[in-house]
Amino acid sequence: MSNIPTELRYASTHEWVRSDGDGVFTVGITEHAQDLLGDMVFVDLPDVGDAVTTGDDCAVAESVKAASDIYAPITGEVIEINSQLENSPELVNSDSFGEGWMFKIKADDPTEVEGLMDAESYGTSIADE
Amino acid sequence: MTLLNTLNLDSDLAQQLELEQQLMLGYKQCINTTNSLWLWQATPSLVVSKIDSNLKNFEEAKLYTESQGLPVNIRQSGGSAVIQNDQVINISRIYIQDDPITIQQSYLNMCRPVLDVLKDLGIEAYLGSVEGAFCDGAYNIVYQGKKLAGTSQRWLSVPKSKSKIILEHMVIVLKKDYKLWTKKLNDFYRMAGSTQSFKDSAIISLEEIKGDITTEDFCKKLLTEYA
Repeated sequence: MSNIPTELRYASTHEWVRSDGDGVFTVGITEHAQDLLGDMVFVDLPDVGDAVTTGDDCAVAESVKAASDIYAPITGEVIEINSQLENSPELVNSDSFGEGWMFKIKADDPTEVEGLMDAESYGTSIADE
Repeated sequence: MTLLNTLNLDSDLAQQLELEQQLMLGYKQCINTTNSLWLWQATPSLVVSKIDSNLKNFEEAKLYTESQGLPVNIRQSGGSAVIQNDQVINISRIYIQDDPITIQQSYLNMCRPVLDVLKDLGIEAYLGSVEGAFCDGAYNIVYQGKKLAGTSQRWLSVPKSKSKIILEHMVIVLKKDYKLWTKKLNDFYRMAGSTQSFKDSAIISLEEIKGDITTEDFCKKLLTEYA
């Protein structure tokens, strides 16, 4: 069973969201998702300043097995990306909830995050995968 | 499974990649609902992945490669660069997967029909990695330690659904002269500032294994097996 931190919120497409305060949220992919994808070789991140809408494909994670889209879990503006991933995409595998974060979004509506799954719901949703 | 024009020979690489992209978007927007599979060959060209397009000197390498008569296009699926011409045949398959599936299972679904066709031809091939082969991966089709075919995938999620849209792609080496293009690949990577290098000795063609089967007959067998 994957580690699913209880303080985070989750999208059905396996992105996690952490509140940094002031309407800023950090986004990454879950341990379960990185496990499905396998060893990461490349992460194509959005540009700082990009406006993203919930459900937009805004990044691509490419592993040794396949390339897979990453979706914006909330609507807002990308204000920071994890440039460490450019040279160290393996951080997504080794520390998916920490150093493997992908980008930060300044939410148009911070309450939108409340519509995402909590850890228990996400755990249930991936139980049959 | 919808077989789309089933066999497109001498097509333009950019058009094929556009077709893949449009079909995937169609599935995502629920315009397409049936699965698609088709075989195709492209005029001489180089197809690279997004990783390659981020190499330090990619633009210079692209210009150089195009000056050598090989247009360069970026594909959606992963892996490394592949030369396209009439010495290989491509299989593209796009489908919606509603039930959970692993990437490994998806590769096996893609490779099994090809392995079965090869077996019917008396060719005992298997899946594995081949050191030094272009676009190497765990799901190459291998014959006697040499790469006969390579595979890659692209996955999309369907909005508000657990379903996945999966693009599977395979390139099968048909002709022995394909090995001669390995130098072009190595030139591309060297100019792009990459240390990647491939060996022509890591590749084998269908022609070398079974020279008496035509491309058309082989493709017909593949389509029959996938249907």
